Amino acid sequence: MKTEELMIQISNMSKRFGDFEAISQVSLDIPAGSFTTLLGPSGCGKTTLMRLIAGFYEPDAGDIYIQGKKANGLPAFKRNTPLVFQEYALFPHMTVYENVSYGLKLMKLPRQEAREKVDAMLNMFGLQGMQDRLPRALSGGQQQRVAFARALIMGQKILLMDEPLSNLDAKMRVEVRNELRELQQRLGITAIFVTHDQDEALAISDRIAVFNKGRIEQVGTPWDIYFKPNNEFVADFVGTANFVEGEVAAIEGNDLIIKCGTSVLRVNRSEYPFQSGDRVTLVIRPECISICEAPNEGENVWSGSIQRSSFQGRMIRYWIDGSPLQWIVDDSSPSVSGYLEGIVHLSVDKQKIHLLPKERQEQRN
Amino acid sequence: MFSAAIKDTWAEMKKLKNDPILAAAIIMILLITSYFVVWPIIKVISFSQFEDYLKLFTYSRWYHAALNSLFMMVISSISCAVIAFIFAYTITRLKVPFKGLFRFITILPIVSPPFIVALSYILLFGRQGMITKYVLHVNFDIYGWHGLWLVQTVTFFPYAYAVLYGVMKSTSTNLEYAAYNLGATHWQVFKNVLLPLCRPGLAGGVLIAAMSVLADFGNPIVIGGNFNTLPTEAYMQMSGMFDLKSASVLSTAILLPALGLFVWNRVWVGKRSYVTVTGKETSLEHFPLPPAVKWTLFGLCMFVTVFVLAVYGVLVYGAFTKTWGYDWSFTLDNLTYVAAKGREIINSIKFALIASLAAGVLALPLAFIVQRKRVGVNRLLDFLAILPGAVPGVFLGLGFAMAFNGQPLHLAGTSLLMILALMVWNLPTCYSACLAGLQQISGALEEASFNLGASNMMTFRKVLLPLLRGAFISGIVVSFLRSVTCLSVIIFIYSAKTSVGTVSILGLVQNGEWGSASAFTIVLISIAFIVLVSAQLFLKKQGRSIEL
Repeated sequence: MKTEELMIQISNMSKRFGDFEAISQVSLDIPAGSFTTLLGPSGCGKTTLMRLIAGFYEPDAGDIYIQGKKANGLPAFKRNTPLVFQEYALFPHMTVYENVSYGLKLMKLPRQEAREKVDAMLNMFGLQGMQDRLPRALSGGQQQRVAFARALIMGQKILLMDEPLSNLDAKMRVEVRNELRELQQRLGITAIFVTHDQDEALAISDRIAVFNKGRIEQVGTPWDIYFKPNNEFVADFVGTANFVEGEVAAIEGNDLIIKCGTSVLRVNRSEYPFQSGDRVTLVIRPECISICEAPNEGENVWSGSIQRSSFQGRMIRYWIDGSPLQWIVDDSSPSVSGYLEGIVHLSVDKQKIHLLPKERQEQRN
Repeated sequence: MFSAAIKDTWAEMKKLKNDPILAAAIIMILLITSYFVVWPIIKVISFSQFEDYLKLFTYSRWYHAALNSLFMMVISSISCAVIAFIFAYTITRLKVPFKGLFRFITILPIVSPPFIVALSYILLFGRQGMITKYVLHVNFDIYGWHGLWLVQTVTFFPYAYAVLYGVMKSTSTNLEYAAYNLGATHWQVFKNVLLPLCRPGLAGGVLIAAMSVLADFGNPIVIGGNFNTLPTEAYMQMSGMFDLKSASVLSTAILLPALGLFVWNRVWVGKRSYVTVTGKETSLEHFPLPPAVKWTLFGLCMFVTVFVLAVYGVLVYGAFTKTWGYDWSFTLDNLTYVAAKGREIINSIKFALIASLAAGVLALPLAFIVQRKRVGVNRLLDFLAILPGAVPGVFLGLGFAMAFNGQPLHLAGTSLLMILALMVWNLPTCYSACLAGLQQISGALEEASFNLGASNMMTFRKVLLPLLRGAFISGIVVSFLRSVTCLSVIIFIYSAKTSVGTVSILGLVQNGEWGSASAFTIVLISIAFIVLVSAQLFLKKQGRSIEL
């Protein structure tokens, strides 16, 4: 990998707190100008990694390079890695203006120049006329914009964000994340974003690193993470998936013939290394399965009876008993007659089935 | 606007007709507090004429006492705040050993009689002092403002510490990290972020220390020498010459600045707190400081700690020494002497126990009404409950001596007088504890209880009372400790029959009987500690702790 294209490089980094290993042997390359999301459940180490980048913690092992320079041991105030805190950490005793200009004041920028920069920032974030307010006199959304303005004003090329959207209501969150993505691309910033919200991660990122128990399970584009997860943890954490265990019964041309219980499914072979007799787990997203009342023709068809359904606006989710297998199926274009009931027929495109080698039991939890 | 406020008050009061129990309770509380809090204060202030007060400016001895008091207040509160800040910073922000010991040091003076630092200062540095006579071989006069300053600082910095500790602990370290993240150095973070955020706490700590120093009687009487202050001067007038008029003038002269500081603290400092919201975000550990700074702060704390430990250690040593300064042989005579004075110790415990229980029982409904009911007179009730906290002990004692010395209540020389005085003195302690406890109980719990069909009374008994138990006991325990170690309030009202431990110790100190004084002090501190520790163990079992 060529270092000049990388903004941040982390190699074999570990960090423990007492007996708890927060990060173990993590390596991650972050290309310049990319939007990288660290995604995972709480306690997985994603925030720890971000704080290691910001210099709030020192790693127990491993190296970190920022813009090609080794940053181990460099104190937080010399790293130039502005961070937007989850609860914003605005200085409660300073006005909006003082908060935003704090970094410039530390640089001893001339007053006039600082004023122009702050005004430009306040304009960019729609905070004109609020410069004399204290943070407590602002709404949550306004506070958040002040936090972004404060972090961006120095014009640094890196922006770290620790779940900055988690205190906004659902609709705001979607709006802000679109603005944020647009801003990041316009300014050409390398953004590192921590979240536990998979929708957010998929929608906003160039690349996602999925964390679990202090390790990175997978790094990839949102597309790969969603449709080609490395393992069951990733498949399960990002979105919903049907997991079906099976065995490769035969290889026919470009297809693997897989026996799952009593049914047989055909899967595009692509690059899978599986041989006849291998145990595999099939990962099928609920929206990849078609559902209809009339029996289907062709391959990968089977039937089942609807146990439960739940209307979710943009789709209906069905829980279907296809003994011995259970299925979750999303129907995103329901028929005018409303919910389906009773026996239904299911089918799945062989290209839309993802295969994983069967994992040992203890790894699945 | 003002008339609208009165209208609201009236409307709220009219609603009380529907709740006779509540109305009766309010009337009872108003009667008790007016008679035992307001009346003694009025009695003292109104005892002297305007001309008498003018003597404060014309009579040079008084004028100097007033100046001395103010001077001591200013320098001691500054030194208290500095030491308290260093302690609070070290304990909340640094990763150093012995933090438990430092915390212990900040509790010690709260369970001790007020003049014990002065007493051991004499034992260490006095004419027969262990250090002056035997280590340094010098002989200098320790009585006066230098010694008093040191003693007041050591005695009262824990009060400032308690305020600062609370503020610093609730200030999220994330704010400091945010500043580091933007490029601020250690010094800039301290100057621009931590110090401004602590400013309300610092001001609060200074004011608390100032009030305590201003009103303190024990240390100046023991170590002040010719450096007389207003409380000691009032005591001289009263005990030496039975001059009530002068005593009342001098006491009032302490009351006014004390009230001013008190109001300032509540109104100004109270509104300027930046207690930061800490939500889901986990606070980071303190950003490591350069080792030189860290260990300097640690060293300073250690120095104060060693000094305080020496203060107490020398008392223990003194308690088992035959004649301090001459005959260092081991003896149990001093303890025998204390045992002979058993009645005074029992009085100490008895009065403290009854008074603190009574204060708690009065404070609980008072806090409940102020916090949970809208009765039109909430602010008045709140004011009456905290008022004794603003009144210097000497003043309160004098007030009780004057107010209950004739019709309708003649209590002079009785145990009841001692108990009532201590009860009033501790009302604010119990009240604040209950109020804080109530503030932490969500109103939704009571609504849930009403919703399930419980009555007002039932809800109070079954929901609020059990939840308030920790705060309630905490308030009573602290009141007990304050009462056992109290001197200023009772110095004007005790009689031969109702004398208590602290009064005896003062007498022993004034007679130079260091050994017996030390032994007496050790016994009192031990009692206070046993009570504190057993209460803490008891509350810990229920998952609570005592807030000192």
